[in-house]
Amino acid sequence: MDVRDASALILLAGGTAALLLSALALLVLPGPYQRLHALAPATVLGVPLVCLALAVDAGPGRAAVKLLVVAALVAVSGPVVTIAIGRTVHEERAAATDRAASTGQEPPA
Amino acid sequence: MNAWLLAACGLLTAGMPPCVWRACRGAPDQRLTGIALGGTVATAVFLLTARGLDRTSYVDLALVLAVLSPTGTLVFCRCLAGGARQPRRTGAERAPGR
Amino acid sequence: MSGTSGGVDWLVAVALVLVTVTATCAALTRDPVRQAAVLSALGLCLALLFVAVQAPDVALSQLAVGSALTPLLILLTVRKARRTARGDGARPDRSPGNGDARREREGE
Repeated sequence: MDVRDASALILLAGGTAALLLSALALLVLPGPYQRLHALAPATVLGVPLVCLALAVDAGPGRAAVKLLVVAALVAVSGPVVTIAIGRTVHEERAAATDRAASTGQEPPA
Repeated sequence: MNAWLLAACGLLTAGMPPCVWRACRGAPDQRLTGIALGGTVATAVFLLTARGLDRTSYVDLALVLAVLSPTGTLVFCRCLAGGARQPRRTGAERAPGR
Repeated sequence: MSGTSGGVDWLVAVALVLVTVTATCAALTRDPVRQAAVLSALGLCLALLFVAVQAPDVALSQLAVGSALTPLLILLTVRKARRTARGDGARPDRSPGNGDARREREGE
């Protein structure tokens, strides 16, 4: 029991540290593509570690399974969202350069 | 005040303001990162609050948020990309293949 | 309950500050697309506040409405409005000219 509590606390500290680190990265990183990297540690490391800590604390059962489902959902959706945001940023930039070029001179397409 | 609630307080205090800050500033496509990370942090806060207050039913909230937050971000991406692609398509006389 | 009340009070206070700041930001934002992003964050903060005051059902509906439905509706409306405006702007005559033309047609 004591080992379980200790391991849950260690996992909780790791997950919280990963989440806070990615929040700090979101604040200090310059540029949209650099800031996109801040999503990765939070979704792949932070939330699954917190869920694992809660599952270890809850013990085997339905509650643990639900927590692990949440962890899997976040871990799978994180990279998907990152790719979608990266593509959107890229398209917005391409559209902005298109607009800037078309105001200078109209390309014949 | 147990360790779970303490972690939830720390995450809400130090993790949420940067996401809100990023969601409130800059171009629309650059606000998406703040929203996505905010959803992730809020999921963790929900889970930790559920354990800290001993209300296991609050876990459903985190489950719903884990589904809805990426969905909302993807919808946002889709609408933004559609709005950006539109002028190029009309400018290029409806490019073939699309 | 007295052991956790300090933590709950802190959660409520922080969530309240976040909601206030985000709502002010949403009110000060003019562009509807950017406002949709701020409103999404506002819905998230409101859901956190509702959980902190232990109203999970309200938080559930707030999550569904605030984080998915409101930005979707705003963005769809903006797209529709922009497309309509672009269709009007692509025509050679502007809206006052349109009005004149309609008046002429009605006069004939």
